Amino acid sequence: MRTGKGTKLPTALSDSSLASAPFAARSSRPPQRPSRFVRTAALVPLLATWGPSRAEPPGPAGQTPEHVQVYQSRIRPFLSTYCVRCHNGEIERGGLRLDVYPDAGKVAADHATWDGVLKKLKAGKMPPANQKQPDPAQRTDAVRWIEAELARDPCDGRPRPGRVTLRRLNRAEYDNTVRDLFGVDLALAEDFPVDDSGYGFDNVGDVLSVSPLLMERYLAAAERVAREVIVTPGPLPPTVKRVPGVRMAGGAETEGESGEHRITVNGEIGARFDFPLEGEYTIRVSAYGEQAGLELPKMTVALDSKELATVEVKAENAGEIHTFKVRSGPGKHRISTRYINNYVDMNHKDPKLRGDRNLIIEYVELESPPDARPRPITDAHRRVMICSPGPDAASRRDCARRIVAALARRAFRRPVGAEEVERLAGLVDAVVAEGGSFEEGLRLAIEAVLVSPSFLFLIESGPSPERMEADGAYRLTDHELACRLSYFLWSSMPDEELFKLAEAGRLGQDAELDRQVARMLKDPRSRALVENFAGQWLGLRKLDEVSPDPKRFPEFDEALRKAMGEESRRFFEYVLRNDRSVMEFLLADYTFVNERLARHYGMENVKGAGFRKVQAGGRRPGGVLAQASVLTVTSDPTRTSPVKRGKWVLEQILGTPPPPPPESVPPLEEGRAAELKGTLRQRMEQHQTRPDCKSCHSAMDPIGFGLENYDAIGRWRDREGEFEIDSSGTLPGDESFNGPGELQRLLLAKRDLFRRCLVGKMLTYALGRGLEYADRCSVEAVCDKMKASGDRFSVLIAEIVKSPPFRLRATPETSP
Amino acid sequence: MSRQRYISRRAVLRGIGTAVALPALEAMVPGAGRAARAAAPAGKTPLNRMVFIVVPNGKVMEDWTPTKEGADYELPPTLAALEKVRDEFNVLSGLGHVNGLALGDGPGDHARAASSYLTGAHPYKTGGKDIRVGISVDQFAAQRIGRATRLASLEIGCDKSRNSGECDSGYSCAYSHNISWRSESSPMAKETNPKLVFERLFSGGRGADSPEAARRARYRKSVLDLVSEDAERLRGRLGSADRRKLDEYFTSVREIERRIEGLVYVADQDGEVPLPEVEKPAGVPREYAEHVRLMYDMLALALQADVTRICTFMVGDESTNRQYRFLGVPDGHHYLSHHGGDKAKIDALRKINRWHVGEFARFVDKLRGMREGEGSLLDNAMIMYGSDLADGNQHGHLDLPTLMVGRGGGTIKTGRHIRFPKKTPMTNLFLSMLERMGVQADRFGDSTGKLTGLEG
Repeated sequence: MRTGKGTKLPTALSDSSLASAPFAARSSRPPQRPSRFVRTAALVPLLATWGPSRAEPPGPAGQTPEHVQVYQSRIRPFLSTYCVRCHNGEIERGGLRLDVYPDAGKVAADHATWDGVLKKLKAGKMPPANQKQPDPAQRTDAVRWIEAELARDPCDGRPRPGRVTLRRLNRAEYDNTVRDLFGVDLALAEDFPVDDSGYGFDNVGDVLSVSPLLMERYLAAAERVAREVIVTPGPLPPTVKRVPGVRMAGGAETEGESGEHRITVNGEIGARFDFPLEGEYTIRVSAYGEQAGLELPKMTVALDSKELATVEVKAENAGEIHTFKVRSGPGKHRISTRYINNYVDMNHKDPKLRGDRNLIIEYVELESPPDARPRPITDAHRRVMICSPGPDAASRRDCARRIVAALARRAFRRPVGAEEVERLAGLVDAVVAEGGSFEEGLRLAIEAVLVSPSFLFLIESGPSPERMEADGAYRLTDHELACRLSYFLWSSMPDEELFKLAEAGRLGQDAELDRQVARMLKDPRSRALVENFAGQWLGLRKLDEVSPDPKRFPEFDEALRKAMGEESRRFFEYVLRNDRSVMEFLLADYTFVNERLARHYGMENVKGAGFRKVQAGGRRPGGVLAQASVLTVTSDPTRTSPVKRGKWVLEQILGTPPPPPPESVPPLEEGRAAELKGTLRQRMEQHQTRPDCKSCHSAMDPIGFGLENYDAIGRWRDREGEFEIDSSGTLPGDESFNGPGELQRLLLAKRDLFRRCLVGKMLTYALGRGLEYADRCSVEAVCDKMKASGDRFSVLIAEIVKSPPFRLRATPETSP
Repeated sequence: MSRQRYISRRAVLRGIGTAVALPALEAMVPGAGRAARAAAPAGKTPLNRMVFIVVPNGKVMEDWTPTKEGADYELPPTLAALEKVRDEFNVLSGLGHVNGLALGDGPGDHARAASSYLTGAHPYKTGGKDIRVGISVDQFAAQRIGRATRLASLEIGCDKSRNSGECDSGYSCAYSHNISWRSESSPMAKETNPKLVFERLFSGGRGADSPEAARRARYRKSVLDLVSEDAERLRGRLGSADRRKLDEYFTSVREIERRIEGLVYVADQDGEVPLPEVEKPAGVPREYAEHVRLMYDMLALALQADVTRICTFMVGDESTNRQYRFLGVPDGHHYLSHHGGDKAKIDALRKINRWHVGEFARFVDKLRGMREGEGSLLDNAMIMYGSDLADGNQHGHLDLPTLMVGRGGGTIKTGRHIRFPKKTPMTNLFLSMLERMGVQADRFGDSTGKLTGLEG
């Protein structure tokens, strides 16, 4: 694909990008930024053209040898003369490079960029006026050639798989991978910084970055995993627990100042400590005094009610440590310090004796004895320790290598070389050589494995001759394919079966991929597809953040929040596990509720917190648009938002996002609307007069109005205050409906749009990259297969898995 | 007994070094860092700090901008809470970011506002691929003088939003969730959990010179060496976009190696600071107000203990629709910011703005009380506070509401309202701030020259 930094980016598959002229025209100021090019390509069918249209490419098609030759003889020289001076690797004006298209083939692969170039050339905006200008004939020649090139159908059978940017594991993937690698579920990624997202999902390599903060967390997490997994033999070293004075409490009159604790009259302060076992403990008290009078401050240290000793505190200004030894059994015990000889006399006749004596406790510390109790060997430990080191060095070394080799193969998800194993096992050797235990050494090797780029990134290697396909594309290795599969369906590493198939070189066959997809979808780990794909596609993750106004919606509580999300997840999972038609997302005769949600929906006879499948129909059929989760996350805290709901349906269901609003117009001018009367709908319609707003809102709003029977937390309503809800409407194309149920049926009739939308989103998620122009062929191919097979869910997945962008990769750009 | 006591930095850490998350990471290799540390203040780098605090969704500008210029201006209603500390800051008017404007890119003003705020660059409109804006001023400084302190910089915030998808009209969420950018394509992730911030600031304070800690540090070092080597080998086999990703990894590994080697922290520092009065937070508080307060406390702590001199704080992610119920505001902030002239909405916004300034005023007051040399910490600080949008209703990018707290090492005369010519690039201010940090630069972002007028 292309190399320049960024000039393209269709955010959605666009059937008629060239048809969106009204917007292209509106934004025709000369921009310096590449994004201008992008816009035109990314623009989606205008709502006016709404419908299952596949715009026919304009102009002639086909790439004759002549056409290819013209690129070399006339077009490339044209570019060199008039464009490359500014648009090259060094200057890259506007983020655009035109020096990386050695042949015509590269041009078509970069549709969005060249679409932008074409527009500039045609409009005479480039080259800029202060630069050398081509004569009109030359310009026309170039324009014609690019037009012809761009008009060619990308679906000519040549694979254009695109290139997924190296991506690191996101938080969910990290946790799942650690879980599957060691069998311990530690949820360590909770402490990682949030993953940025792009194209609707948080597994997009381009925006998943590694900051120093994240690296710190990786290290800490790796150490934690190593400690949890590997049990070390022998006594645990003593543990030390410290409580600063300020955190100690007691009956004395005190004045806490920062970390320390000042006792100003006779009295005691203390803190409770956990004594893990029977044995001899060491107590340390760091204290100093504000000296006055004839005596030093005296401090009595006690364990529970037992006094250990009374000492004089000589230190001033900074703490001095007093140490006490005591035997104790396990349990919670209180350690206290008592100040017993307070002295205040500010008016003593002898000035030397004037003053205020105080005792300041900096901290109390408890050191436990070494813990020699045997620790149980865990399953995780056993799983890693596939051999036990013998007493001699050779057997230890050998065992270390076997363990590390087995672990690295799974952790790096590929065959590992002897040299790699040697370096990791060298860590074990080094620790042992220093007198550490084998297990400690192994912990260090595990840490190294878990912070290695081979673990943290999904690495896909470069091309090799035996894996080349036509036209700059090459097959992934079987191991890489196994990873794509497992991270797509499980958000986790491949299992043993996938590893074995990859090692046998059998995974790449179509039949095997079908078998694996079927198997993996049945596996409980495919719940990850519900959490991570549906969670983002349907916006379920946002449920955690919404917060409907408690005054207006006192019914909304945590139980309801949970139940809303669960309904949608169960629904999605049902379609997945039972291989139902994806059209049931639009309309179904069932849904899932528990008692809490059933009450919310006004259903009777559902008892208990457990979810069950129930009949749905009548005015509230099954399907995502009737689910409280979706209806709530597309509302504002105090009221519904027909615009948000309409926009959501256009974007997430129909894949025809509305064009962006005109610049500098607030989304909803309610200032005037507030003075209007009636339902929200009536007020919106009354104030909505601007024609440039109306054209798009006429596509968004009717959908939202159609859902107005659902309030801001998805509850049915017939009235809004004193006014009756009108949930009838007409979609562009004169299709009218009355009420949300009919709206769902109308959307079901647009199944081609929905299918394409869902395939696009699923492919984006499967690849971890935004879709490009050439991907439309793969999307259409998957759609065709689905259509032919009743839109079953497994076909959606299996066809994506077998598509060129999933199995192939474009050769890396040849960067100069 | 209320006299304030001062103790050594060493004691500070003894006092508050409670639980330690990364025991050996920050462990000291005794002595190793003293030279580096000592060299910093003594060398070219003046003792100064730059902090950037941003509140989302703009301000009600007529309540923010003073009418009069100079020293005897009247504090407008939004800034009323700052009366007590009015000698500590300047109100700066007229600064903005042309690069926040659409410039032909259509909607997406919130994403552009956040991403241009500290970079002065125009973000490339993308949902992910080829994400690019520019290095931010804090990171520009951190990469040049960050070695003076244990953490080169600190990035914190309050929102850990799991918003899926494009946050603003075709812009990746990375643009609205980050203001700090380490390179034009790598945002610096921010920490939102005050407990974890605390641990980052103060881990390794205790027992760091024990043989056990030294051993852990060595182990960590050997792990990092090994994985750097892995990365190096990989690098040669990758294409350029992949390489960029791996470079992020490299830089991060190196940053941590530096900390282990260069160590720095408290080791026998004799500088005097008052004991912080903060306990280690338990986690993320449920209440936003409490969360904000704690993060300000952490920020104050970081500056006081001189763990870092460069910080950014996103009090909220850009275009957040947070509800401020504790202020009696049930509607979402972003929703309200598009008030369209509705008085009730504007009043709600005023409440939100005033509350934020109030929290900031507490923070400033606290810093003012921290003694440093003959004066206060604010003598050696530059704390920029404001919003990355002017009027949220209109998505203004020019004349951003901006306060500058602190005297920047005695180079800034405070207590004034300074109005700069319209469309003065905010980056001119950044250039001037960099200079005061001891970082020489001729240009930053779209700067046209250093900002004059701060010195009085």
